[in-house]
Amino acid sequence: MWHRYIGLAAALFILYLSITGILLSFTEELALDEHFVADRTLLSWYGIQAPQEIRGVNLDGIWVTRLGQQLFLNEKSISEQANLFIGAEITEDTVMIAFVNKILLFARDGQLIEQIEDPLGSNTAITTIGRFADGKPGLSTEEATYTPDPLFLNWQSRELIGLKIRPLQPVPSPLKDVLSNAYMGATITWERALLDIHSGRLFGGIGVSLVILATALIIILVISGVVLWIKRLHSRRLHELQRTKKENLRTS
Amino acid sequence: MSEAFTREVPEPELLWLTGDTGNRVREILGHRPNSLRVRYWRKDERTVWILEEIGKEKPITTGFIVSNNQIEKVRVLIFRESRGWEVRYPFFTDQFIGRKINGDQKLDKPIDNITGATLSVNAITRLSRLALFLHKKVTT
Repeated sequence: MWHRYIGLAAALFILYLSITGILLSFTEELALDEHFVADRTLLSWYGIQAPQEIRGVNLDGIWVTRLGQQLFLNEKSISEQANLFIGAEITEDTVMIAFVNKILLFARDGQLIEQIEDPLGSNTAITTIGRFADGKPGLSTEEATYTPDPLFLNWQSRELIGLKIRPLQPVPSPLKDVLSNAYMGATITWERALLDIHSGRLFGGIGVSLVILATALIIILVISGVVLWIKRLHSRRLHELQRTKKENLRTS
Repeated sequence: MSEAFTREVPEPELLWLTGDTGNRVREILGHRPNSLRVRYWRKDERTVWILEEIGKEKPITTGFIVSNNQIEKVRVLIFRESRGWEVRYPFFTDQFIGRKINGDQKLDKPIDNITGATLSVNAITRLSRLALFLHKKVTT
């Protein structure tokens, strides 16, 4: 009887673990590691919420914004190395986005012109990007400041004085809403979420404890089920033996 | 660079991957060029290209030295994937030495695959064809 009650109690957990387990077994087929959770309720369990204010660099109406690990050029995600982002500047026809170890050049319509690794040579780290009063852009390192030729092939040393850096400004709507949705929808994959649901971690310590309890109940069910089956088998054989003895006595 | 140019490294030049060139690049790579232009270094009939192509998920940065329309050297500069790293070694890259492309922009001889690194092998093969095509573009 108690085996039945344990079974009933564990039924829901067994269903829960089985469904999430099966889904996880098909992670590759379902591309769960490539699709991101967009549901805000589920994201809120991870403490992920839409940012209150989003600030970016305004390049004459073209916005470069950092959100988490992502860098956006207007609404287009252009890099997942936002931690290395230094700043941005614009010339007549080229958007320059500087990282510690490279610069990205974009046309005003967002097409990537070129990615230039280590533009100043010798793995020199870029610390600042700005514009001079004459309109030319400038890159600074700890040692010196440089300005490029129009094709960004060569860099000429220049005095740091007069280099203006663009400040961060609040990004206006509707771009802010687009970026917010893009940011929220690219943080947790469905694989991660399912693993956390399956293990109970999504619900904190209580969730993990409940999953452990459910697993313990399943183990008890298995063991008790086997024990009961052996008992019944033994009892059935004993019963058959007794019946055979009785029949032998009657015939004799 | 020092391997390619024993004395002075020449100034870089630019090749725009637009128009017909862009279309040919798309045919070779199977997708639009990642950028509108590519930088290269040239001295006489020798050129050096640093190109990138995605293997499975991440780009593989590879350097090519091309001279007389043949690949002289291949070097995998940055390998970011967790699998397929065998392509970095000379036993694989040496296959490209002396390779040319035909009229269909295909290599004149096939490249042996590495089990478990197919996507990386394919990426570097596409890049080798691209380097040869671009070399022809700038030297003719």
